[in-house]
Amino acid sequence: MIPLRQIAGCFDGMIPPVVATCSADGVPNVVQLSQIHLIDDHHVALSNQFFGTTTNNIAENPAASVVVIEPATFESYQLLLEHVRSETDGAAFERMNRQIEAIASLTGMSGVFRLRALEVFRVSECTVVPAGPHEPGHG
Amino acid sequence: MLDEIAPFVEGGVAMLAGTADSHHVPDAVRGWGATVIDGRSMRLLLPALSPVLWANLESNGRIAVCFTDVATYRSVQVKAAVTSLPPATDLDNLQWRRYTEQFLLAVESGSMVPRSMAMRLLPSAVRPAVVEVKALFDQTPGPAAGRSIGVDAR
Repeated sequence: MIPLRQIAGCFDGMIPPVVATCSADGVPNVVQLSQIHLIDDHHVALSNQFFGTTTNNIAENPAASVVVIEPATFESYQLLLEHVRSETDGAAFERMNRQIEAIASLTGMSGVFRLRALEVFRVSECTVVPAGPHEPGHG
Repeated sequence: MLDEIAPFVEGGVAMLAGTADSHHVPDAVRGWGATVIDGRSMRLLLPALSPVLWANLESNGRIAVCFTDVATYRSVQVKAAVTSLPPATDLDNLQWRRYTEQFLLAVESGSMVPRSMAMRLLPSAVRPAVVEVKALFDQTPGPAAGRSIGVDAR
């Protein structure tokens, strides 16, 4: 697994990550998030603002797949996650709430991005997403 | 309703696809073009060299695709079921190039990311998946995110 700290730029909030989840009966869901947060070498947190279906899905099926982009290189990485807990207060929650509000104000969406919970996940895989020759149809 | 949103989903909007395997382990990829075939079906262009994606489409057959305007954040999520996985045609590759041009232009003007950087997201090839749309949702960030906007919610 690629060490998460090696791709720390993916967690600075510059490029919105993508998260896919799946219901207990096999229906996938995919949304774009405002930010994913690096907790430690083996854990990340997703900021839960309005993703109702995502929240419902991880309650019945803890697996998630996230694609993040390193803003310095635009290389994409895929993380395979397992939900471990929700946090609705504490230092990490407050820190991320401030970060989200700062991003929202920059994008003219202040007040829309209210943080409901911090969803903490264990990372079981981190792999690079293969890219092409940088010109469509020339592979 | 699918016809009404065709100009949106066929434009240069960001396209995110979610699938899952038979054990319901999800997988996320970027999509590279979509065409509304009729009132219920779409042809999606997806990265050809994503073995997990194609295995999921073969085994589970369900897909979610979120289309997002990178400038306004207007988003629509489509829930669909695979009807066929044909080989790529010349028309698919033309559509891929057309979509990519629109997407790169939107990214460059909307987020000031240089074209040369955004091009690093491109896959080496795409393959089509023909799907029947089961449900549509407004996924624009805000309190209404997740609201059903049409087609049978099956």
